[in-house]
Amino acid sequence: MRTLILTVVMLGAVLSAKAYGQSGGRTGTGNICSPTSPTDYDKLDRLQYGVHNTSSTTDVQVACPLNLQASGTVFKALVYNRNAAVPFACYYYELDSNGLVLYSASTSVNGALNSGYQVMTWSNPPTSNNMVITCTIPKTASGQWSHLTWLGWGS
Amino acid sequence: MRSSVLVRLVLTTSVVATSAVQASTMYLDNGNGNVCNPVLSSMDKVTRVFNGVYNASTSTSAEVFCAVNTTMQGSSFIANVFSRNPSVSMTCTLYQKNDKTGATIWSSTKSIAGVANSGVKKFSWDTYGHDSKNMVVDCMIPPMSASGESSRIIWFGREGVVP
Repeated sequence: MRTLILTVVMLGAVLSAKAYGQSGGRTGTGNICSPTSPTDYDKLDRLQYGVHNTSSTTDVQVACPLNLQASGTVFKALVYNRNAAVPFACYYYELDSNGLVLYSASTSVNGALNSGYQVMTWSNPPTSNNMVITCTIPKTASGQWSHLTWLGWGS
Repeated sequence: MRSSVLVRLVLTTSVVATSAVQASTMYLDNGNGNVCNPVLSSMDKVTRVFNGVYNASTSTSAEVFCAVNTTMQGSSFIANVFSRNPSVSMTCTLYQKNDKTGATIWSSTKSIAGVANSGVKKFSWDTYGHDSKNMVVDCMIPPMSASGESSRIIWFGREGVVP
């Protein structure tokens, strides 16, 4: 009896840990993103905070392939928007493997100088194996950068 | 009696937990074409949209490398593309590399002839026996056609895996 109880507890712990390990949001740094236009490579720079736009004159669009294990009900993008005049706007796409759009939705957050991070969310459990987001990273404001820091799934 | 109940509990727990693990592995191997990155000489040509990468040049092919997520096993590897320049084929090579030295263990090059206004075409490699922890796809994307159609890498990944 004691052995069986112990087995139940251990099995539950092991399997729970394994399940958590495969569904832990599949985080991804914003450094996975690349500019959509080849003329914008020289405007993006990268840090541990992800990618940021160094241009003081041009907003830069990036594409971020979600080469992540989708697990969760909410997709999140963590950003810093330091430009009060330009929204940090992102489109989330789910596609089929032929590139046809199954679902898309946009979200944006307004900015402010010296502001902290903000989280964009899309409540759409993944149904495909082809996902991407595109974002417009605002130009600098008073020398402050806006960052696309983190992408991932949560609940 | 109690032992019987506990045995059933163990089995039920196993089934439920295993199902949860299997369900969560559905999307291991996604690969939007935006995973692909240009070589230095093609950085001024490769452009991105939500459904992949294309070559914006009207005169020269662009080369990209696409890192393969190797966490899922499968019998074949697929790249879905538009190949729309009738004058230039799209060519892709799948490499299996040694995961310690980077030496090429196996590679296979395939081409798809361009057809104006054509739909999605599929590169398909039989990878049976060629799975490794270090695989990459190297593609030459044709320039835009005279009529302005782009060729594109849309998606790549494994085929033959049951979620």
